[in-house]
Amino acid sequence: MAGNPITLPELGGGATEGELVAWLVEPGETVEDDQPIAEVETEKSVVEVPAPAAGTVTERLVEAGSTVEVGAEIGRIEPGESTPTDDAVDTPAEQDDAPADEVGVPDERVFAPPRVRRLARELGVDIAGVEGSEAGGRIGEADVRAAAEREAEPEDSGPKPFTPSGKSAVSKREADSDTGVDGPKPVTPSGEAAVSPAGSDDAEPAAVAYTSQYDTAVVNDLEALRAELDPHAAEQGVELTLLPLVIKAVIRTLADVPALNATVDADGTVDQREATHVGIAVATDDGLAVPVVEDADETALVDLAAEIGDLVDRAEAGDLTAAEADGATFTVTTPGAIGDEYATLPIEGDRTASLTLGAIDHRPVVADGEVVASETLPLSLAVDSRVVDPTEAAAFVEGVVGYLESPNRLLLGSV
Amino acid sequence: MADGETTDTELAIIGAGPGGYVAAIRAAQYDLDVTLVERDAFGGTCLNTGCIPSKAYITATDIAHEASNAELMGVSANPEVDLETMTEWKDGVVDQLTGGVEKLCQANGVNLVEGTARFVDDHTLRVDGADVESIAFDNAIIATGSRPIEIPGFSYADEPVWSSTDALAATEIPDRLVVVGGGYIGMELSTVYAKLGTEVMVVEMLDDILPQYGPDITRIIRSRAEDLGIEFNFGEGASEWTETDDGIVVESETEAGESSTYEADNVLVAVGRAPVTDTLDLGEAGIETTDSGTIPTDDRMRTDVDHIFAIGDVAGDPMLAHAASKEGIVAAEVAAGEPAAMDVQAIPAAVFTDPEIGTVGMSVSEAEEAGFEPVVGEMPFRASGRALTTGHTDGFVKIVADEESGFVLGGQIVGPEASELVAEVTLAIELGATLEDVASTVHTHPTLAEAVMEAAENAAGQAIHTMNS
Ligand SMILES: Cc1cc2nc3c(=O)[nH]c(=O)nc-3n(C[C@H](O)[C@H](O)[C@H](O)COP(=O)(O)OP(=O)(O)OC[C@H]3O[C@@H](n4cnc5c(N)ncnc54)[C@H](O)[C@@H]3O)c2cc1C
Repeated sequence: MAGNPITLPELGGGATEGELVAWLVEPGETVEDDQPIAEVETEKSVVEVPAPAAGTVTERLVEAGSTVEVGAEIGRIEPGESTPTDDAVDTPAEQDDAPADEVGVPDERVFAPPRVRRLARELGVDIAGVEGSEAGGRIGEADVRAAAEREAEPEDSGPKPFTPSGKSAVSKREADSDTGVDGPKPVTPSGEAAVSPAGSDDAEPAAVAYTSQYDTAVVNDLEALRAELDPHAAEQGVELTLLPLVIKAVIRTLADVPALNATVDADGTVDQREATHVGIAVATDDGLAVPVVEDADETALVDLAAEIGDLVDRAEAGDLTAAEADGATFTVTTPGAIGDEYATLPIEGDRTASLTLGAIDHRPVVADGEVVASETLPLSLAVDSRVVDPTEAAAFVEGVVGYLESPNRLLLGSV
Repeated sequence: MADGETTDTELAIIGAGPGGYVAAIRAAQYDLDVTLVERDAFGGTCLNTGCIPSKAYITATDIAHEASNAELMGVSANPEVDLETMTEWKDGVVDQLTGGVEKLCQANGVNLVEGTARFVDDHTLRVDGADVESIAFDNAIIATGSRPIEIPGFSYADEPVWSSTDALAATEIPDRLVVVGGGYIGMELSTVYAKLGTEVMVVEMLDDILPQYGPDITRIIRSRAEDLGIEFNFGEGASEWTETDDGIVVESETEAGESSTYEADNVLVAVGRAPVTDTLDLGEAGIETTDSGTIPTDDRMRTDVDHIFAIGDVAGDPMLAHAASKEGIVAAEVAAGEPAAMDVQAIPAAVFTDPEIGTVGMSVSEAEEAGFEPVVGEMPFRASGRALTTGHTDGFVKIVADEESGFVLGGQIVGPEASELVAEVTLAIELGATLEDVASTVHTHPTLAEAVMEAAENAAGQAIHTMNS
């Protein structure tokens, strides 16, 4: 066996194994140091495996579709600026010359008419990964075009957690239902819904006992603040959405109620965390991805906005590295990821709490005895009841709502 | 093109069968400069010695047979068969089609070269027997087809020993014919000769005919063949033949070593076909074949050398003309930079026995193996009004679908015009149509095609003309 071993690196999120979903290189291909060579999917995200060194990939030892443990050898690489070996070129079984961007023909039956299958190839979409929206799951032209758009320009066309107006996540879904096309759904690799929509009774049971708290924040003032700050952020090249402001409120509240910024291991030992690393769960084609903003409590609002924007875009494009999805101490789930209003997710990983944001929308609110339409943000909090006291959970929700409804208070403790 | 010189071309195609000529025309439609080399006859096996001549004889002998077996309908006749005229008519059909192929190629601007090509290197062909001595190409397509396999002791060079090509060019109707091999070519030609009045004896190594089909299908074909007077000898392999005063004697052996003899006038050997790849000097182009001689290709019909494609019988199963043509279209379009690929969901197959067989996609067991939970709908032709009026009611239409989604997965048809009827099921499969789509489509009455609709209804428990089980 020629070359040095390529082993599966740490995948993040506590994952000990993952499914190697695709090889990105052929044997005999020359790669640069850190160039992505394979994609591995864990329960939470798709992670790219970087080449350990510059050189020539000489062998692929596991087939796409296999489950691989962290540290296992998946291939071999001959370091250096070498050219393909004769072996690699001459073996009849190897199709070494297929253009890299060419999509293959799935082995299994595909339920899509010929012209749609051809369109998929033309747009560089692997039709095996497209979910059909037509009866029985048949794939139509619109499904392929949508998949191509998502792949090509995730930053422009993918669902954003929050936009400047705070409406995107909602209006996107409405627009989609107008045209009869389903919006992106969170899916697991097997194609099943990763999480059940809010209110459905087949919600997955949590691994640990947890309790929930629900509340709604009126965010008219938050939106006004955002609108005021946005032009200034724009001067620094950053688009300010509501999400970083909400995260700020969460971080401030975590400082007040630290019990929720903790991790707990399998035997129940609680680790109260000093640092605040906020995981942001977003829906992607491959299920929930949870990019992490490290030391979010030490990050200025504009930088937070820039970092979140970048992480979310790349999560949707499936381009996160393992490290970027690792180490969250608290998780916030964005509305694109799960139902419109209230929902509780099983708490991810070793964390003790998770906050799910509903979609911001005009909802009736009673103010001074009158019903008025206000911009509201539904909040659902799940806590590990072994670790977090219900009063602490209530205090946390109350704290977040307080900051969201009087956002200027954030200034008092701002970094 | 000057004598004995090198000609440059964007796409060189070797072999002008249904693979090669179709590829040539499609590539020319995409404005490629195309050179098509053929050593024998334009149209290849299919038009000259395969599909077309065999179907011509099948139809002609069927007319004779039908006419002499229609007393029930009040028709009595004793038709006289003149083999010479029948053959002239068949040759006329072949000439018309092959001439048409040549004209179509020329009209599309394809350069035609009559000669035998082989590789000098991965960008050059040498051509023997033509004005053009060598061809320098950017891309090439290998479409050299297949030839009948010979078995030890039976050389096609000997007069009484026939290949399928000889059987389709006979000058006399033999009184007795031994057919070695019960595959589709053997069975089609057995039927032709049985209907011409020949005593046909099939010798087959396996224990049934048409090994790719299940017993639900072969039972019907075998029993009708027996009615036509065809005698089956299963579990025997032909070992040798000898000439006698009165024709020949063919000897066969069972695996246990028991031998039998069959007196005949001719012996037709139809045990399969082998790809024509040994005469091409493929190694010079860097291409290797499998042990059986076929050329491995990817889903773009590319060989290991990415600018050289292989299509049709040389690229392996299914060795069928329409597969060759589809592969030719894919190769031509890929060579022209189009996003084509061999992504068909199913390739139909037909056997022109009496009755015919038309199958496509998955059988029930194949659907189960592929992880579906299949439902099957069936319509026997005896419940079809149109089938009754043709006098042919043997057989059925079976349609296989995924229970959950209703997607059509396959179809098996035995009966009159099964080769035509299978097209509808094939279209349903390619489009991703469901049972409901097929069942809801209005079919002309009275036609055999209604049976496809009825089978789809039956799968949903809603057939009108049969009881739904
Ligand atoms: C009796 C019979 C009945 C059949 N019936 C049917 C049927 O009903 N339906 C069906 O789908 N299929 C049928 N087939 C099969 C069908 O004929 C083949 O699958 C089809 O012809 C394959 O097409 P092709 O283009 O790959 O090769 P071919 O048709 O074999 O053409 C290859 C061509 O390449 C030429 N060639 C070879 N080497 C060279 C060279 N070095 N230089 C130049 N030219 C060369 C040959 O002369 C030939 O013309 C039948 C076959 C037979 C024998």
